Amino acid sequence: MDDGAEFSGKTVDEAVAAAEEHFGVEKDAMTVEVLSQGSRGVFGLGAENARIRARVDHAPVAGAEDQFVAGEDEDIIEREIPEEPSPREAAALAEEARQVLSELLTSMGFNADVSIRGTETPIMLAITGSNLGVLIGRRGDNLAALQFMLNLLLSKNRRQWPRIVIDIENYRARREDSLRTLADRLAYRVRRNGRPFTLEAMPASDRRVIHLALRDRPDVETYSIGEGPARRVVIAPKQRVQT
Amino acid sequence: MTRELIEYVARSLVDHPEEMTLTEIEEDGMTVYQLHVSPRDMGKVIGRRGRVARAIRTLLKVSAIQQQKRAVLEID
Repeated sequence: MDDGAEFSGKTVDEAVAAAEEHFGVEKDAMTVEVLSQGSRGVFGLGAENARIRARVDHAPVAGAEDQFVAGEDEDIIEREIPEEPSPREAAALAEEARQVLSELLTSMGFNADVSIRGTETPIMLAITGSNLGVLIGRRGDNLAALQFMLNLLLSKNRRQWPRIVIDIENYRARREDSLRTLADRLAYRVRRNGRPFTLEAMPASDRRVIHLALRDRPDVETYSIGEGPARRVVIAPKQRVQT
Repeated sequence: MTRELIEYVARSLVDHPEEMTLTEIEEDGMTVYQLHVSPRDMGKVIGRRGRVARAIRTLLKVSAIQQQKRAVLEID
């Protein structure tokens, strides 16, 4: 596993928040090493930023991950360097995953097809059928639970978190598109009326999409406020650099 | 359905499936599933900070909605 990256902030919490957004995962899914607690200094003199080194325990998967981010389950998965599976292993894992997911869906009363969309890491499974909206849920919460459960079941006889990604009716791509559209629309509004806008709370991966969508704009900037599941992105007019 | 979901998931997660029981009680139009597992397996079905139990309950809710029913899960 790589050594991660260093982040700094006025406090350790701020540094951790910066790391969360950089990686697009919640802090639960990262290993954080505090390099320096930082200090406020005396009357602002000699103040030193808190510094941390953070890395993602298991590489984040593309798309909407939320509180069911892979990697929290040390009791289930032993931590070790993820190895890239051979194409044959990947194909076997994908097929096993397809069967387990089919079984899960049948046991839940869904009549849906599961197909393997890709066996490159991460392996992607696609569910197709009718009336699958409830399976996605609000902001993809139900899909996240389903994906977490699939990986959990598959991890039982493995030493690694399998990192299978499930998509339903192209939800993941659509979610990203709609977040980008939302970001653009709100950025325009913020520029026009000059007031910051605070979005609703989102998982880290969704916040990351917003930050990235607006990163290169000259007129607005983004940052996040709040903790954990209540963390929200703020879009604000870009401040002139003060000297 | 639904019952199969809990059975399938719980049976896959525990190390002592022979000590697992699942009972079903109808209460005011709602199905209450009572899952009992070996104390040694509690951690497996609850998970750290309840993540596994929460995921099972989410899937149970989805399954119940799909069948236009109401259901809850108790674990002991």
